[in-house]
Amino acid sequence: MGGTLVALAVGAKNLGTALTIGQIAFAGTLVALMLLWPRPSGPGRDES
Amino acid sequence: MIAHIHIGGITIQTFGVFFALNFISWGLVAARRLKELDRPVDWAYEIVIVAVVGGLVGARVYYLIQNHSSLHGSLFGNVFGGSGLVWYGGFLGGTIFVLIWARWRGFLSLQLLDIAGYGLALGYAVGRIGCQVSGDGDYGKPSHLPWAMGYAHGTTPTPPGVTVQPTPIYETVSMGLVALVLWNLRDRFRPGVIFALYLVLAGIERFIVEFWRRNSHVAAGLTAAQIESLAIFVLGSVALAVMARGPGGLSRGPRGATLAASHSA
Repeated sequence: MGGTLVALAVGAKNLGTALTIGQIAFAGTLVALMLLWPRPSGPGRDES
Repeated sequence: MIAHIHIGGITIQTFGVFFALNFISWGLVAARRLKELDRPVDWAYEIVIVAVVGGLVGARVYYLIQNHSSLHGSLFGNVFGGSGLVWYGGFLGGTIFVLIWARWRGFLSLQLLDIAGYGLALGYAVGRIGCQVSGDGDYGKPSHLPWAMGYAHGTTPTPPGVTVQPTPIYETVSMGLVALVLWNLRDRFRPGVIFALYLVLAGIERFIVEFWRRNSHVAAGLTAAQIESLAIFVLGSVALAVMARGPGGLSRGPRGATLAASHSA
């Protein structure tokens, strides 16, 4: 959503292009979150 | 849409770029998980290489089997030339090759399945960007929704002036969220539960998205992908039910109890 809005704000050719940029930004954010977010504390962590 | 990019005289298909990124993303996440599990991180790269090779072989073989009646020329030319990859064939080939690798490494376990669960969800989300950018025909039915769009320059272009549902975007968002949820639940359930949840959620996601896609109905008003989605949904649900009835249910439990249970098994 944020990526789409930014793309529109900076003059993406059309909504489709902006949505595609938003899609790429979403996936990039997702991968970054999965790699960098600290491991959640839970009852089943296998090591200390 | 940008189906190809040209760099230094070389033409690169954008679909292929995101196909590669799908495996790289999966490999990075698998590496982190293997480290958490005190397993060699290098195994992540072995898994990815094996999955890529198996996936390409499976996708190509599946395509050749599906289209054997329309193929011409030598066997060698048909196997190594031209295009033609089928996702389900890739999934099967990748799975078989990874299982062989896991047996060789002594890692044929439910933990590996769980890594495959959020890995497949993440890879699917990233891979669908390739469908969106290249306009390969995985888009939806004609629509006049405010966010409907045309793929006039795609590899499978929409007719001029026609706008369609951008289903690759729906799939990236939905399966991306599935990957994130499964990833955050990875320590909360006993091994195997995450993969069963993946089967359930992936089945639901594809079943729903198919209503907006262009695939033809094959039985009972459903597309082939919807029937396959129902099958994996049922498979995942049965697996969850079986595991829920087992000792300790679905939860992983405290560390000591988990280790004690695994040693006594």
